[in-house]
Amino acid sequence: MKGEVTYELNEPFEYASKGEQCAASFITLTAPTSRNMKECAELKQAFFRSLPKEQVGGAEEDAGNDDEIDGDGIMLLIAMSQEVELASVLGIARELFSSGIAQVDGEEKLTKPLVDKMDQDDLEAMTGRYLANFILASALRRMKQS
Amino acid sequence: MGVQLANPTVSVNNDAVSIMPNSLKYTEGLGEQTTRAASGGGGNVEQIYAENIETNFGKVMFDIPATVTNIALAREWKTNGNQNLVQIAGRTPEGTVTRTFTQAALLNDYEVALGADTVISLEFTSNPAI
Repeated sequence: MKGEVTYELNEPFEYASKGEQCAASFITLTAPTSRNMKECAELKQAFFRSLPKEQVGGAEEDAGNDDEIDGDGIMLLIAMSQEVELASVLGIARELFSSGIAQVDGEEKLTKPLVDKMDQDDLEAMTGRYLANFILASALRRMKQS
Repeated sequence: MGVQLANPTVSVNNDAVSIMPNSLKYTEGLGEQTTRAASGGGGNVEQIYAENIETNFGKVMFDIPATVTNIALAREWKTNGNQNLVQIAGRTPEGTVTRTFTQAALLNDYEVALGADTVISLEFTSNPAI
């Protein structure tokens, strides 16, 4: 697990930096700490609840067969699930990203007003990327190893 | 019948700010203009119009409650010099008004009054509103 990853925005949004208005091009995401445990636990639980019931027991083998499950795959699973509401997952992600773990263009804190300016697809893809790289990284690795 | 714009949102440096109701005021930063008369002789007067660009600054003024968070925020904005950006947005059924003030600075030494119903009155001076 890397300490930080960069998410390239598909749709730039405007933000304030050093008194000027700039167009954001990427978001730097840093690994969560215990301060984020509530949101991380909720997102992790949401992912495992989104796995099809008959596959939960065999999910480890399935995951082991696939090379990688990426952020888009994770979000697709959540979106297709009848057990998990995508809206609540994105709401939790909004809280998580605005807690200080995300920096716009690597320098300005991603605040709630800025999250609200983000394109919906970007927010969804960034949530998937964060899940894959940080929150689910160790669980996915264990699945592959078993 | 128009609807008075009365409940705007204010954000400073990407953070939403809770302000005292009815306290927000701003100037567009379009500056002051003057006219003078130039005599053409024989009773003819020509108007001379001038823009005083020294006055082309935007201003945003609002009050915030004197909470610990707001006292810290105001101090941060003050120490930022002119590296602040203030945005205001208001919406009525008729439409939306948004203004952005770049390179905003708190020039005066604002007062922090501590009491049950006191506020901190802030006045940012900036580039003309966008």
